[in-house]
Amino acid sequence: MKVEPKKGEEAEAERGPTGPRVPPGRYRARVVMGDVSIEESFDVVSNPAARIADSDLEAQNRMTRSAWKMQSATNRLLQTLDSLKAQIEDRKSAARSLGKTISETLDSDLKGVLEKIEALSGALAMPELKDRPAVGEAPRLYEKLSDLLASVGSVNAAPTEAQRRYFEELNRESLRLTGEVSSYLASLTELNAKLHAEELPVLLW
Amino acid sequence: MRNRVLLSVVLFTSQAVAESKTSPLSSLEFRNIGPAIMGGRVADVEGVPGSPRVVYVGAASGGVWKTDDGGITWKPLFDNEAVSSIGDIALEPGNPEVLYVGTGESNLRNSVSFGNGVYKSTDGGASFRHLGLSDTRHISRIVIDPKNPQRVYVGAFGHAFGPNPERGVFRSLDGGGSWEKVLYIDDRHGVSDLEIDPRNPNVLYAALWHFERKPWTIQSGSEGGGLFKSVDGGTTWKKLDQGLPKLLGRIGVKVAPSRPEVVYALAESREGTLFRSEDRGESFTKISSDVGIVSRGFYFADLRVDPANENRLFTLAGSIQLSIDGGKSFERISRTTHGDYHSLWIDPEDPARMWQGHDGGVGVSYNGGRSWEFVSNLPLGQFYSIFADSREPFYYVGGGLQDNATWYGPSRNGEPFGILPDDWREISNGDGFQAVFHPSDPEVTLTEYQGGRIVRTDNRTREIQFVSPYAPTMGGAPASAFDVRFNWNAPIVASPRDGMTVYFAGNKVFRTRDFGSTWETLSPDLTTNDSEKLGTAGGPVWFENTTAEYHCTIVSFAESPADALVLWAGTDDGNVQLSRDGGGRWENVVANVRGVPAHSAVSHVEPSRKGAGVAYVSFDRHLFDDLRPYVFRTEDFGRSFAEIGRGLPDKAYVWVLREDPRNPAILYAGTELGLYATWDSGRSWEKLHLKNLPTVSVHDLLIHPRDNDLVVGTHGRGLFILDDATPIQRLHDTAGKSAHLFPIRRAVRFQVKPTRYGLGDKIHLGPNPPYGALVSYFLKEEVPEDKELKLEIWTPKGLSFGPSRIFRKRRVFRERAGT
Repeated sequence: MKVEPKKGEEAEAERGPTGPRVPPGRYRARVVMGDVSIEESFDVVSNPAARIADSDLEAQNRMTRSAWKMQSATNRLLQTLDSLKAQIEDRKSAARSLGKTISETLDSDLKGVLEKIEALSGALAMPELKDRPAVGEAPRLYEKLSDLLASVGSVNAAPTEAQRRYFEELNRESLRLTGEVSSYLASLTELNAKLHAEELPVLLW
Repeated sequence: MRNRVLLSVVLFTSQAVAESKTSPLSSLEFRNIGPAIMGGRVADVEGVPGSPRVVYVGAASGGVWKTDDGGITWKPLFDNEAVSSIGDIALEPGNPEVLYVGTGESNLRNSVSFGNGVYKSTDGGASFRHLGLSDTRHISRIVIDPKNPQRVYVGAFGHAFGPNPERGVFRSLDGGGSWEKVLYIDDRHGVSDLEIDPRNPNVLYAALWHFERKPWTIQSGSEGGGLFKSVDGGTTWKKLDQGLPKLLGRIGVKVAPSRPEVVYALAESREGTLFRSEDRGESFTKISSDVGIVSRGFYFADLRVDPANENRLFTLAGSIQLSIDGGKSFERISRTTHGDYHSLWIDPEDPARMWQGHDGGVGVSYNGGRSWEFVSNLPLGQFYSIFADSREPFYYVGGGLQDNATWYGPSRNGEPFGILPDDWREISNGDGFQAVFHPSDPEVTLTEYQGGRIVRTDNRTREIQFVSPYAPTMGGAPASAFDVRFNWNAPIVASPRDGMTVYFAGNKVFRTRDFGSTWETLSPDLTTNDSEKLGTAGGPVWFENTTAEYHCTIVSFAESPADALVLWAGTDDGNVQLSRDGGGRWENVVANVRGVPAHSAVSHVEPSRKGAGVAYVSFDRHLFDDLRPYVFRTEDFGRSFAEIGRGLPDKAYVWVLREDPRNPAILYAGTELGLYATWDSGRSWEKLHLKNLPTVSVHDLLIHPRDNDLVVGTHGRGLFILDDATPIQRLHDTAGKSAHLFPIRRAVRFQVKPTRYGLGDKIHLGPNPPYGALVSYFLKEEVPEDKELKLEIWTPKGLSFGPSRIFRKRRVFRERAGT
């Protein structure tokens, strides 16, 4: 379950920054073409009509960058889980096309893995609306981070005390879920051994 | 999802070295920010009988537009044709996929543009084929035989500013493949209207009109013109004179579809305005002498008859008036839409459904005209002049429009949807023209109405103060009645050094140093002051003094950016006046300009930054029926001039010249045929439409001093912005290089937040540029995949975003970085 960036008209309707805003300052752009390297510097300036103290800006930037990294890491986990799910379906399909019968044990294990992937994915991000059992489901880590990024980044101010506490909470949740996914992935070596034994390609991640 | 940063990328690659300057720039994109809220003049609207979804609009100078969803959205169909002025659209009866477009509006006002004949589409406007009649210039009507659609008739006015033979009624028997001229009086009479009897298509009516416009007057009407009838499909014609005046100006003629014996003629005439025939035009009876149903004869004089009721008719003029008693009495309708009506389409299968076209665009009624919707999503703005401030974070841009006041709005905003109609505000009314923002308070402006009515407006408090140095209201009398006279479009020009200092010019130059509170007279009369050209306009039928023909006036003024004492004034009667001492003494240097006839209007004077003695001057002779561009440069304070406009296209007469403020080697020309630029002092000119700028007249342009955007004020399609003109200005930096990265302008960090929601599709949204920095670079050739090519962005702390893959192809892109 990968969260895809919006495309086309949907993205057009939300033209704006698609990540945390970088802080003001002098940046450099460099085009590298083989041996040729050309560089220009440019300034990013704050909206002169909206004032913000440097320290507040720094605090805001620190949090939005960290939250953005967390969200990106969450997305990478989701992509890994999506990939595993696709590989399992692929292995089953390959077995069928080769006229093989997967053993009951392996079949049961694969089913269990798919269920676990669903559970882990469901903890990381909400299912697509069409797949949700009901409306009004609680947001998951990915959505919580989106909301935090939006609320912290929508103003020229430092994060509030409540936002800082919430960020720490999400940081802990992120660490926990990352650990959980990593542990589970590590445990799949046993499943790979079974796949190998039945002459099916192993899972990669 | 990978990290995104606050950067956007402009990528472009060059074509071969020998190619034009604009080739490597060809994918740089203009943004059409509208506005659409005030619309623009429409010459014709045509619907499809019984099909409420499809409607075509012919704009006076904005091309052809089509909706296939009843006006919720519109698509321009004429972006790439040679001209943008539309006279009439005709749909083939029973087959609306076939349409004919007669180019060149026939409402022959002072700012009218020209066409180049007839176009035909057989695929609902997706493509067009040019069918000739190229020198007709203005086409008033096209009618198609409902029983034999191969028979097509074109009513051509011909040249508006002089005689020419390609005018009259033309007939095609092969769907426009070939034409024969079947009605022609002489080279000074053209067709103002053409009508076909729907039951007997061999019967046609044509109104022949003598009209000619000169810079200082118009002539409308003759005894030789009038109403003509054919009963043999246009082969022969006879003049209809029973019951009609001898002296007639513009005439609109319409057959009552429900009873074709009834024919109406609405005329510019001293002996009545509405005439009715009960015998297919053989004789007429005067029904009305109400001048209000014609208003300005040369500009209106048109009517429609209800398809189902021969006594129910609509006259199109300053207002729409409805008669339900065959023209005996009228009542004004459509009071809530823009005035000045030029078109009305009534669905023959549902006469309650009507589309109107006027100086403000189009409107629609579904109840026979009792109530109207103004369709405010067509960006047809006819800017005469534009201006911009420097407010933060985004500058505002505005301008004056034909019959649509002076407006201003943001060049971009923090709205995720784009620039909204509500972002635009009217500053002052009337026809709008030139304007300046207060240098330290952009909510205070100096703007003007036609004829030099300059006003200072506080847009917060809505206070509007008339601050003209000459208080009497122009108009209502000939120019000779006033001590000071101002052009229809009088110069208001801020000093490039001090925004509180503003010049305002009539036949004399005035200067304020306190933004309009007080004025000093800075010159004597700088014009020829030719009393022959200061009289009442019009005749021999009707006369008018609207200031549209006020002549012997200054129409272009500038203070040199190189020397504040050097002032230039160009007049509409051909003087190029120079002062080198801040207005103490003036010298007319036009005699040193070789190659342009005397008394040609000086459309623009542009002093150069390169030196106090350097200036560019354009002359506009289109009102003398000479469409050639005339551009000159002097480098010695006007002692000599070199012609530099020969490389511009024929008929691209010039409205404005602008020297690029960051690269004075570049000169831009806004012409009747679009935007051009020269990089070599006029030895060659190149079209600069790049991506998105359609065929349209360009009346004004500016380079924003802070943001370096190229802002183009079109007369028919609103405002266009090319974000960051650096690649145009620094193209020379790419010479001999395999790759080049252009200087990058500042990027503003701002918030994006909607202030609206659920807008639907029936709204014009001006697109914002991509969020972030625009990084522009040049690749001389396509870079193979196995060669390293990347863009890196480094933060102030030395951290890198990326690298990002960038486009290797030989084409131009603009996209966000880091994706």
